[in-house]
Amino acid sequence: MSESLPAHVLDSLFTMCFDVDEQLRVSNPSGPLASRYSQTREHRTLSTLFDVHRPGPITEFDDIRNDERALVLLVAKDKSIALRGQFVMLSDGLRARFVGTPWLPWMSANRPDVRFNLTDFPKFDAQLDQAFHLATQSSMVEDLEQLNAELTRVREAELDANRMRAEFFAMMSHEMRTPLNAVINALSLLKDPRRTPDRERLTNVAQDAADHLLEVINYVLDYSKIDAGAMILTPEQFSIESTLKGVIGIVQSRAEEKGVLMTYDVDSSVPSHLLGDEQKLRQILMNLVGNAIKFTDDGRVNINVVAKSSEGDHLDIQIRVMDTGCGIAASQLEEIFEPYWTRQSIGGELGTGLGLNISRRLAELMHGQISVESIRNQGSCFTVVVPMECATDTSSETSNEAGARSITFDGRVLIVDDNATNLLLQQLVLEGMGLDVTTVDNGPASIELATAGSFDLVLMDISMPGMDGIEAMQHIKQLPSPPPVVALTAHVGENLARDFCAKGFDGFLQKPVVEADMLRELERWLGSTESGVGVGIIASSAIDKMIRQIGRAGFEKVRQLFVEEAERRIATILDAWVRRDLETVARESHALAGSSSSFGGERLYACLKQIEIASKERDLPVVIDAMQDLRSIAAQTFASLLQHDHRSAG
Amino acid sequence: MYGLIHGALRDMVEQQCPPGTWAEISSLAGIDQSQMLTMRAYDDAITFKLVGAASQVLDMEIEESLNTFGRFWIADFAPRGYDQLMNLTGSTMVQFLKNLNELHDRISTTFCDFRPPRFDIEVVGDGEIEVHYRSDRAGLTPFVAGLLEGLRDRFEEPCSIELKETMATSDGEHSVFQLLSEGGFDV
Repeated sequence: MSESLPAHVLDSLFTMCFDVDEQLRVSNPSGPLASRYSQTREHRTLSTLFDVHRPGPITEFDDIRNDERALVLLVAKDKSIALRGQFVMLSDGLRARFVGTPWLPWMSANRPDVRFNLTDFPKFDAQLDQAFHLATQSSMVEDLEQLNAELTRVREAELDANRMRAEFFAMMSHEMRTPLNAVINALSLLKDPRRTPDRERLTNVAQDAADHLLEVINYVLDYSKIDAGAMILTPEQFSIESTLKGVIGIVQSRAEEKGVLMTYDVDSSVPSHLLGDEQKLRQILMNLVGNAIKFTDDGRVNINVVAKSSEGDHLDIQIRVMDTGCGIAASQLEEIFEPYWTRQSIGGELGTGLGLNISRRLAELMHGQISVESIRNQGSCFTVVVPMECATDTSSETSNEAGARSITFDGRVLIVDDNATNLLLQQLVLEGMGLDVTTVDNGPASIELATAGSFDLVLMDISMPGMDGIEAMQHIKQLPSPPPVVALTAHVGENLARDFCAKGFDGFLQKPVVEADMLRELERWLGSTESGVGVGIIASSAIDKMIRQIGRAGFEKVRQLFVEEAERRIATILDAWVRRDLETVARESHALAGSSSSFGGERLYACLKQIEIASKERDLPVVIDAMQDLRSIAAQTFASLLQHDHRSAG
Repeated sequence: MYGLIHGALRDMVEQQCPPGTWAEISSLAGIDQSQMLTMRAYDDAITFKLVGAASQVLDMEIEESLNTFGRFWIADFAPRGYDQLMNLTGSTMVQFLKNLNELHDRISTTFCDFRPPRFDIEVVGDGEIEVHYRSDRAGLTPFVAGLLEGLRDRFEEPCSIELKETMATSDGEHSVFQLLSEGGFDV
C-alpha cells in the first residue's frame, strides 16, 4: 500500500481506516469510522480508543512494524464499534495505516442494535458471505433430515408393497393354475379315443376354463396397471347408448340362460354424445352387469342412465345397475370392494375377487365413484357417478362408432413381432378388416421390407432379440418417406404414450391389443388409397364427405377460410401461452379443435383437445409438451389439405 | 432456480393451508424431496411446475399465487433465516430497493448459479418513484409485485404500488412499477 494513494481511494476499498504514528497516536480516520466513533478524530492513543483482541497487546510501534501481516481485531472502548483488518506500514516507515471493515460477528453478538449498511462492507469482504452461508447451512441440515425421513418412508412403503405383491402373485398363481389344469386335463382326455362320447363335454370344460383363465389374466393385468399408475384417461367422443348396447350384447346370452330379463333406459337429460374415457366406463359396466347377472336367477337387471348435474359442458353422469338377485348383507357392502373378496354365486361360480375393486379404482381414476345399496333376497343397486363433458362436435368419428358401422380399411400394413402366434393372430385380424398385411419376425428384415416396399403403417413389437423395435423404427424413420410406426408393447408404466412418442414412434398399442385401440390407430393412419402424402394427418374420408355435401368449389372456399382462421387462432394460442393466459389458450383451442375435426385433421384435433383440457386443469407440463407439437402438426395439416386439392386436380 | 425457493414455497403452503396440501401439490407437480435441496440449482421448469400445481390445488390464478408468495418471502421466509442481511440491505423501503442489486451481488458468491434480476430505482418526483424490474425469466412480475407489497408492510411505508407496464425483451422481461406516497418517501 503506497502513501501516494489518496485517502478516498483507500476508503473505497476499506471502509474503516485510521493512521497510527510511532507514539501510537491515532489520526486521519476514514469518514465512515469517524461518523460512528468520533473520538478517533481527537488524536488520542490507540490504547485509549481500542481494546486489541488480536494479535495481542500493542504497547509500542514495533509491535505493529514486526507483525504487519497479522489479523487485527479491535473493539472500541465504548463498545460502539468493533473492527477487523490489518496494519499496513506506510512508505516513510514512521506511520502505519489500519485498513479494515466492521467486525460483523462481534457486532451481531454484542451490539445487535447498531445498524450497518451493505455499503459498510467492501465487495471483497467475505463476512457477509459467511453470515449468509451460516444461515443457509441450517436449511441444508433440515434438507438432509427431510431426505432421510422420506427415504425411510419410501423404503417402508416399498417393503409393504413387496409383501402385498408377493401375496397377490401367490393368490393369482393359484387362480390361474386351477383353470389351466382343467384345460390341460380336458385336452389330454380329448386325445384319448375312448373318450369320444365325452368329446363335447370335455370341449366345453376346456372352453369354460380357458375363458376363466383369460378373465383372471385380464384382471391381473388391469390390477397391475392401476397399481403401477400406468392407467391413464383417454377421453374420446362416444354415445352412451351405443356403449350400453355393446355391453348388453355381450352378456345377453348368459342372461337368457339364467332367465334374467335385461333392460336399459337413458334419460333425456343425457346428451346423445359425451366426451370421456369410454373404454374404462365400458369395463366398469361389464363388471357390474356381469355381477348382476351372476347373482340373479330368473329375475331382472336394469341399467338406468341420467345426467345428475351440469355446469356448462360439464356434467355428472349417473349409471345405476339394478338387479332382483340375492342381494348383499349390510355388513358386506364395503367389504365387496376390497381386493380378493369373493362369494359364491347362485350358480356356484366364484370370481377372482378383483372385479369390484378394479371397477372402483377405475371410477376414481375418472374422478368419479361407485356406491351400492342392497337388501338381502331382494336385490342390489350399484351406482356409478362419473364426470363427463357434453361432446360439442359429433362429426368426427370415434373408434366405437367406426367399429359399429364398418371395420374395413385400405392400405398395406407391416407387422413386426418375434412371437409367431401374435404375428399370425394380428395378421388374421387385420386381413379380416380388408388390409393387405405383410409379416416379419425381426428388426433387420423389417427395415429391408420397409425400404423395398411402400407400407402405409408399421406395427412394431418392441422387445425382440438382436435389434429391438426402437432401433428398427429409427432406421425406418430415416427413409425418404417413412410410414408411421406404431409401437406394440406389453410394457406398463406411466406416460407410455409420451415416452414412445419421445423415442420417435407415431403411436403405441399396449398388449394384449384391445380391438377399440387397434381401430383407433387404424383410423388415425389409414384412409382411402387416394390419401398419399400426409397420410395420418388428414382423414380423407372427412374431405370426401365434405366435397360430396358442398361440392368442390364450396370445399375450396371453406378450406381457405379454415386455414386462415386456424393460423390466426394458433397465433393467438401461442401468444396467450407466452403470457400464461390459460383461459384464452383453452378457449381458442376448443374453438379450433371443432373445425379441425370437420376437415379430418385428427392429429391437430387431438393436440388441441389435449391443450384445452390441460389448460383448464392448469396441468402446465402437459400444455408445454403439446405446445411443442402444435406448430408442426398444424403446418403438416395445412400442407396436406392443400396437397389434397393438388393431387385430385392432377 | 435454487431449491431454497422450492423450500420457501413449501413453507408457505404448510403454514397457510390444511395439512396434506403440500403433499398434494408436490405429487401433482411430480416433485420429490430430491428437488428441494436448498443449495442445489434446478431447471426453472421445476419451479414453474410447482407454482402451476399450487395454483391448481389452491384454486388460485397463477398470478395470485405468485403475488402471495412474494409477500410471504418478505414477511416470513427471508427474515427467518436471513434477517441480518435484510437489515443490512436497508432501513427504509427506498434504501432497501436501492441496495437490492448489491444484496444480490453478495448472494451470488454463495449461490454460484444465481441469476438475479436487476432493480433500478428512479425518483420521478416528490412522493413518486419508479421501480424498474429486469429479468431473464418471463412471468415473475406478479411475484415482484408481492415482494414490493411485503416491503411496504415491513417498513410500514404507506404507498400505492401499481404495475405500469410489462414489456417482453429479447432475453426476458422488463416491468415498471409506480410507487406513490402522499407524504413522500422516507429515503
